[in-house]
Amino acid sequence: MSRVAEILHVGTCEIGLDAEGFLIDSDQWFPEVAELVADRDGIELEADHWWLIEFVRAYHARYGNPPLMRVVVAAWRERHGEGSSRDLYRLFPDGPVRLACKYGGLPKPDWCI
Amino acid sequence: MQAPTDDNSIVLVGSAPLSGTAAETVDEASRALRECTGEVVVFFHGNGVDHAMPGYSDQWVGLSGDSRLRLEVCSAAWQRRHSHTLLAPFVISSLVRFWHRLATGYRIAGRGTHAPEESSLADPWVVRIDSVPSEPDSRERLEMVLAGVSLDLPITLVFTGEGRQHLVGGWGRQWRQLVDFDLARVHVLGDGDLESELPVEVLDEEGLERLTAGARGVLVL
Repeated sequence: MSRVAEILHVGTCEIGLDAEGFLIDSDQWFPEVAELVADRDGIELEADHWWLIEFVRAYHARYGNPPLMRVVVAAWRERHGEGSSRDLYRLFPDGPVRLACKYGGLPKPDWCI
Repeated sequence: MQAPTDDNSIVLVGSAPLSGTAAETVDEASRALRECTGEVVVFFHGNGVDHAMPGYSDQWVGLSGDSRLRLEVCSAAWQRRHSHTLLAPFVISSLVRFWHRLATGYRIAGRGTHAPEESSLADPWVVRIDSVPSEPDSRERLEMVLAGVSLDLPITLVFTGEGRQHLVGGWGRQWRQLVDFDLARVHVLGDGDLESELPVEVLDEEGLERLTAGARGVLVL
């Protein structure tokens, strides 16, 4: 398990983050945490960002791991009628699935995929 | 002189060093070095990454005098088990790189594998899972499959013997994504009495033989 590198104060809650800004305890997540963590990275969460975060959270809850990019791209196309991974990288340039995990309070993906 | 690039092999090692099948893997790599004119990659994944630990690595280090040999270790599996740096001649690699090698023509060598003389790009890779599930090994087998499908490679999964337990109860949850999102075809060898909620196709021995014969290659995990 990761060590707490920083405490984030959200309202009256103290949220433990690791050195890369991922939540130590996923159960501490709530939407305001996502907004604050993303804001620290210079990202203002809008509707498509939230769609991606919620899609990744739901996938993780069902299967125990984050989705592959090809799965997210297929879901994005279903939502918008078209699109590619470029659209997802426009949302989160440093890695759409990884950052959706970060802002969604999920563990940092530790696989080499 | 540079080795030809059209005769390269890859040996997959997923068993822990002291397990029964692990003892054969050094022989498989030696054989591949004798029979193959190009590069031989030994890819350690899952519990197999412990072969790179001091005390288990001597035979591999002995083989590494041949410059055509590369000893590659799955980075995620290594980091989950060990906090220290990997020592030479072992090098860090990834599941995606493993599949990329297969997709670009490396032949699979080793236990239970099969690489036909001729195959087309449309033929599927068959991944056969025949050992009982355990953590984190079970998840790492799934990751092996996900890495292949992330490259859009056609993969057909067959659960056989004790491997059928991967589809039962809580173990089945993680594999279900392959079916739900049409990422891979999933079969089970047997008589259909498996108590699994996954909509998988039941195969008999004849069906498995047909599947194997038409595969681009077979990996046993």
